[in-house]
Amino acid sequence: MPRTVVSTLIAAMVALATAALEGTLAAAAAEKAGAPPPIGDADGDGDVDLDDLVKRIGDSSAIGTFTKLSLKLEIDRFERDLRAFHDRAGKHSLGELHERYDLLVHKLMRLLQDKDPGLAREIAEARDFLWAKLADPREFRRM
Amino acid sequence: MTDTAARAARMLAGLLAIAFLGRPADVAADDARSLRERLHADLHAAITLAGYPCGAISATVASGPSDYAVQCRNGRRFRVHSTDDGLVHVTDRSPGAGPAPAARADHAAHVARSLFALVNLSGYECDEVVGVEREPRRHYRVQCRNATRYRISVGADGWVAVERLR
Repeated sequence: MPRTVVSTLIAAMVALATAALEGTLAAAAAEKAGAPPPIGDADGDGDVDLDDLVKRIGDSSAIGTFTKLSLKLEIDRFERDLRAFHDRAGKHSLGELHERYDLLVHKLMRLLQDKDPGLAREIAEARDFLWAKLADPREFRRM
Repeated sequence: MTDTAARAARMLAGLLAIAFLGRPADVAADDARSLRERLHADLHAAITLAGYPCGAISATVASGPSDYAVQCRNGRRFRVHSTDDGLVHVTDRSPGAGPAPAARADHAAHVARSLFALVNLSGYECDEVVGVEREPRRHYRVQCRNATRYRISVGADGWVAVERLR
């Protein structure tokens, strides 16, 4: 599924959620084995197959095509404004962008939580982690 | 086999035939209903995310594979279509509707539009957000022009709840 259907941001949300979940499981296994848990994921992406995750969202019947395109447009605008902020050329403060991000996730949750609760749960678990990445200019440019 | 038993057997066979012949039609009807409901939900969400109140969709007419005329229960009409470049366009075709107002890009407009979408995506009807009160942890109280009020909150599990206030 090409990334034109859902934005990189949604893909990153799911990828990071999966990475976070895998990290949690790995930490639990390591703790059980007596080893100290790893501290974070150095590159954020791990071995997550983004395209596969994007395909999962693209194939999900929980959100229809028109809705996906509407969200993509909104996410593209948010990404543009966040990029402008990091380039010190934006009109919006980081606090405002954080609120927009939160409301965007609220909408995704509202659309997914009843029809695809598994995916909604992953996004809920990843939201703060992903915002930390988006708010960091270096991490943002690497995403 | 007596005549009575033969008649009973034929009747039973007939009933079974009707039941089995009827089943695919039922399944097809269920599939068509399910597809229609999903299309309506998709179009409703697109209209809502574009900032228009629709309530619920009462009828749709397809004029292309990605082009629909939509009639809402609140009397408003829209055209929803997508273009090859992946953009979705929602046009108000209601009687007396003027050109679409330019979307404001200021932060208050972004917030009001998102809260409007959250309320309407939850099955409520908010015609326009006219007041927003922020609470801790990204919870909101929303006042709509039609005098309805809502509280939007997020649970510890991340689930979003929209509650109508009296």
